[in-house]
Amino acid sequence: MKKNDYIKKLFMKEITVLEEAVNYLGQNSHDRDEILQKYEELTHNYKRLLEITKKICTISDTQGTNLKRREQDIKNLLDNTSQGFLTFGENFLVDREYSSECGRIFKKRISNVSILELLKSENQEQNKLFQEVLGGFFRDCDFEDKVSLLAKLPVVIKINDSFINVNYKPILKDMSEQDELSLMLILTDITEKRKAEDEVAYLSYHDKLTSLYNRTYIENIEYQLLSSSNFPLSIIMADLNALKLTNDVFGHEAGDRLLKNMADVFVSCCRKKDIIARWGGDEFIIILPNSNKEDCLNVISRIRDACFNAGPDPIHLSVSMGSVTIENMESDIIGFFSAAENMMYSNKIEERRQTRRRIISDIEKVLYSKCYKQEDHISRVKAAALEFGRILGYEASSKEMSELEMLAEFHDIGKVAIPSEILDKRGTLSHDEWQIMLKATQIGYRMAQSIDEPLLAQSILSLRERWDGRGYPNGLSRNGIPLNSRLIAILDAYDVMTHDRPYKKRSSCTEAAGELQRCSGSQFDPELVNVFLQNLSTIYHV
Amino acid sequence: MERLFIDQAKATPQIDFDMDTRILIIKGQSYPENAFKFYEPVFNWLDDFLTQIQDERQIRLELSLPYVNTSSSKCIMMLLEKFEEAKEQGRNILINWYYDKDNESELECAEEFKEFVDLEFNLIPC
Repeated sequence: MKKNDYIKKLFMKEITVLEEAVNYLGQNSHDRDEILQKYEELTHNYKRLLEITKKICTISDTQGTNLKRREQDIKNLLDNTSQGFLTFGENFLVDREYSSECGRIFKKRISNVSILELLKSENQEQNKLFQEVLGGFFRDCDFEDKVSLLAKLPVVIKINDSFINVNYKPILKDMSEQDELSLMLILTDITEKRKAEDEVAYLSYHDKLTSLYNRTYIENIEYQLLSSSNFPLSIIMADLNALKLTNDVFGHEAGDRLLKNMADVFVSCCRKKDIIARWGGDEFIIILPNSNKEDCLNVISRIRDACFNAGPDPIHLSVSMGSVTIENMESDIIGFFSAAENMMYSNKIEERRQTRRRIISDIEKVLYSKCYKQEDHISRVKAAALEFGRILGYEASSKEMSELEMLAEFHDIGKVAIPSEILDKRGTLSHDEWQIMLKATQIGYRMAQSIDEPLLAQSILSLRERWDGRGYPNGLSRNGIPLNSRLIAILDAYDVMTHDRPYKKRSSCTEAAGELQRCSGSQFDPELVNVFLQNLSTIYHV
Repeated sequence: MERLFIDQAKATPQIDFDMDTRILIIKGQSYPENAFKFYEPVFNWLDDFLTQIQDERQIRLELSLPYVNTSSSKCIMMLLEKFEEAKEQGRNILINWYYDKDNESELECAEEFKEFVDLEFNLIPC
């Protein structure tokens, strides 16, 4: 039935009324009463038709508004899900309605554009697969076959440099009385998620700071390492020296830099196929496949040279290493790790003195570069201390003299961690700055502890204590303060007063001696002040 | 006279007219491409039915039409007119129109239909 035919049938009654009226008017003779009756009839039907029309318009408009509102609500839901929804039929052209995320993913309007064109990539095999599968999907076959065809399509594809997860949903579109098969694609941009997953995967096998592998990675590949193709296999265990000291003195940023520099040295001295990992805090492991003992020792030697040549930042790189070489297949690699580790510790003990000397020398250099004429100050205090010790009866090569000399040399070492702005400040220090300044003795204490010098550490810590017990940090008094600390405190004060400082002109020897005398019994040990002043010209050769 | 039953389809409502119980049900969305074609057998059945009924036992029309297209609206009006004529001829007619209380437009449409005819016409939310 044609559309016009059923519309006619729908209005059959009204059409009949109209036709009768037209026919009647066509007749020649009309009785007046009959005309009036026909006119009334026509008016009644016209009124009824108008009523129906009005009702239908109102109903249609109400429903139309409701449909538009629902359409908008659904569109809002789809546009705000951060997912792309699009559909297409067997002509592959994307339907008019799609969610706004599709526009973002494809970076253009996509209605009436072929889905094959939109999904096209540099991967020719994938393009072919889409063509075959989507073609097959719309050809005659049962629903289950269609679904299994879709399972062949990739779940993640790349569109405009984004990784998109694609979900394929066959749908039957409600086209009035007849359903039409369509395919819906639900697109989810997983680029950020994928990046995060990659990062998590990377971090689970890498050390974030140095970008080297981590211990978990080595533990995971332990057994793969024992493959015959890797033999001879050498293992180096390495321990970065002075990391704790660097962290304590220069802060964790400098400690991190030391670790990174160390990692860079390892990478520069090894081949690409070698595996370098951060084993623990300051420990590293280097696995050298197809490397015999000689190759391994060459790597160790290159690492030592590279450390030496790297220059201080803030101190020279210093690393203790131990190694083993496995010539043949072995079942337990852990034992070899331990053997290399033991050798490393043994080397560390042997190299201790040399390592310590070098570290201290580096720290002193940093201090000299930071503090005004510090080197001269140290050298004068040291000479005066040796003389003062001699007057007090210390034997020249005695333990006491050696400890006094060491304290004279390192009494200011903690200043290395004090900002230059405070050290060089003209005028009086603020309360906060003074608190920072006071910390120099604590830092010096920790430095001495970290180089295994507990007595020196205690003496440095007590340099700011006062004879009257009002000093820093522990409020020690009188003989509770180590003798060497009391002694160096006097020498340090006298030397500082009698030499120019960035913030103050020097005092005369008489003025300085007077100040010491003034503070004798309160700040300084009165007996030592007396000895010092009585022997000033011997102790202190200005 | 046989019961008229047409199963609900995507675009057409369920029709269940039972002469014995005199309950006539139209339930579902109505937007066929050819509304008259769908409702023609309903009209015919109803004409026969209303001709046969001569007593005053109540005839109840139960309507639940969440969406009707324009042509279907005209058909429903034609249907209601038939009941209106039957009432004028002394039949006892009751219309119950069920609408979704959460859908304002359904009630508005039902009210339009109610105003169109002079029948006992209940609007029932559900």
